[in-house]
Amino acid sequence: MAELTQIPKTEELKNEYEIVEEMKNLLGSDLLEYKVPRVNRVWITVPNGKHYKAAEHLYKKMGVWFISTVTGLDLKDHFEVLFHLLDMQRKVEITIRVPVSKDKPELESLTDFYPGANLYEREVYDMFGIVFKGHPNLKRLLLAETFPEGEHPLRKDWTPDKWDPKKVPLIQRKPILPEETSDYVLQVGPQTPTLKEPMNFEVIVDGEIVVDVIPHIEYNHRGLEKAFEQRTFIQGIYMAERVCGICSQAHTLPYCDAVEQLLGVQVPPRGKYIRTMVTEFNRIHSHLLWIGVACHLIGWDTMFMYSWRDREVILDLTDLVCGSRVTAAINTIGGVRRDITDEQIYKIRKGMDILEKRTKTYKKIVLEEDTLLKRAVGVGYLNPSYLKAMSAVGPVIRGSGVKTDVRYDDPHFGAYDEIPFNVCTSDMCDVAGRLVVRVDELIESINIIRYILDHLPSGEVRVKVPRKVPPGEAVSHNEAPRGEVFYYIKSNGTDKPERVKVITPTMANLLPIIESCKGHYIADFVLNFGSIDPCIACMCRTTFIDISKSKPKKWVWTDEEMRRYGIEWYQNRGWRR
Amino acid sequence: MVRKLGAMEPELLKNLTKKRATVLYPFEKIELPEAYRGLWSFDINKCTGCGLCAKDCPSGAIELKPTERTKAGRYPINYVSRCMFCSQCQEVCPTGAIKMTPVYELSDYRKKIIDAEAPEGYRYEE
Repeated sequence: MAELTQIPKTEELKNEYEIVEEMKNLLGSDLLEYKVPRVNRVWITVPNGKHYKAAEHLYKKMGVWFISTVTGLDLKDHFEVLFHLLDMQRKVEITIRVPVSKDKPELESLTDFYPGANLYEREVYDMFGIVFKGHPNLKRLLLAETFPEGEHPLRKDWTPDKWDPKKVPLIQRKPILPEETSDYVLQVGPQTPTLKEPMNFEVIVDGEIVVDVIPHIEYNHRGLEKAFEQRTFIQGIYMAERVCGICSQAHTLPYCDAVEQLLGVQVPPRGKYIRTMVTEFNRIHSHLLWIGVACHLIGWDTMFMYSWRDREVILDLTDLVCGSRVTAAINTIGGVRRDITDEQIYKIRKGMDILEKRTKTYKKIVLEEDTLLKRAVGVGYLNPSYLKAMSAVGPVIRGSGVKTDVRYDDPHFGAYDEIPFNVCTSDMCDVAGRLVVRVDELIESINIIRYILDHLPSGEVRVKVPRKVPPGEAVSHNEAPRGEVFYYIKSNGTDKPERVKVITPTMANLLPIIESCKGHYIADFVLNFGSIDPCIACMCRTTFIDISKSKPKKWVWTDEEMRRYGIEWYQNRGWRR
Repeated sequence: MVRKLGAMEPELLKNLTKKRATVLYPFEKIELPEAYRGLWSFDINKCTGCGLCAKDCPSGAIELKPTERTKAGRYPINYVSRCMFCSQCQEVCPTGAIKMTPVYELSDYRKKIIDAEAPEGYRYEE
């Protein structure tokens, strides 16, 4: 049994070795390799086929219910698939590594225990062509459905020259409808005025009630993971920052943390505290933005203006500390780039006083104001056990009363192991619950920032690091405002990473949110989808299917025809314009 | 009919007497902090021509050009339209020749290049 960079068993690593012992007992000689590179991390390698047994044991006997993501790797002679599970009880991130041969890239799907792995496995299939046996719906996810068969861009031998974009046929979807129904399909997106990102939803509706939603998220695949491989580690920081504009700080923190793990450097305490503070700035501005957008989506623009006005306070503070309003760019490998001065601390404290006062007003409004409550209470109900099964993250799962937070479950990426804070939950399980959680987190973030300013250690803010990173692999995650952001980085000894895997919270929350829309009105979609950003705004076209006849007849209306039909319909009933 | 005030009405009344939150931009300007990452400025007298800025630039906005005024015989120019204002160049510069200034009004009809050898310190892309 090979043991790599291994920390021997100590009292501190009791939980990590408990998992290793369990796996040894279960798998015997099938446990090819294990390592405990640091606290909170366990890596095990099992042959193809045995991972199902290991995952079954972890899920059924050891209570590991959360899957962070599934990573695919191309190692020239074979593939590797990594399942990243997070054990919330023992606070351990477990990675199951499964080698897969290139001749027959197949392995068993873990969706039996972790239905939340659905999208992650589809992504690996899409990018590497690894087939997951027993997966309920193994189709392309990030690339267009019409992308040629057998072309998988993250394979190392794949080059863009082989692929001619002009030859890819246009997407022509056939409406998917069950037989014998009066339903029709509402096309939402990819371009609608209030949908922030280009996503398409095929919403199957029966009257005004939503029956099913099929998401298509392949419109804006930017190939960031491939682009990471062509940039140096330092250039990668600014890449990571631009994965998401709003969560900019939340992405650079795990990226830098993972690279620091590979380098084996410790960030000085003052640097860690400043990082954590800017992460909380990020959370405050994201949550204030979301509250504004949520109110805007239900048509309450007064509140939208108020919350965005107050968001300026935190944006000005970010500007003061980091030099820019949204893209903070304060993290670097080995620490932070800028120190904070006493004058800045004074200004931050003043800003926090204003924000605390405002946040208390918001809390009152969220809990008491009918304008909001009548639209939010009871909408988008999500069962906590369903969310746990789907591995949902962030305010969505905390809004249903499940106490998970990466800052609490694996606090070593920032200074969260030294800072006291509460994990805010709500047991309302609906949109109102998610609102309450976000407002509570605002207060919690303000308290964290005040604690940081009171206890700011002195000393250096960064350490010098070499440009070349020794070979190895590391995972890190962070609680972004929307949920868990996960980074897996593999280096090969040069100044460029070999593989960077990013997973963002919206991917984890997409399927549960869609589930919660079923059975509700179309109008309630707006707020419900709002909690993960996209929303339903307008109908670009409608497809009708008349299936009462033996030969189903299909036709498509433009919105002009739709409008004319509407006017005639009302005139026939005696209504005047 | 008298109704009890909700949570929002007192808030609305309070805001009636408040100042506006916006700034009449072209006439009034907000003050930016000293350390704001805005337009690039470059001092060729401090530059050694090491080229680290061009090596680390994430968006490829910095290009090295030959000159006789630096030790290594080259100096960086900045394509403002490609720059994403991360200030990695300022950070990596060993002599402090590169600085980001709090100048944010960068709109122009043509694409600007910050070039220390150009007569006014900048020139336009052809």
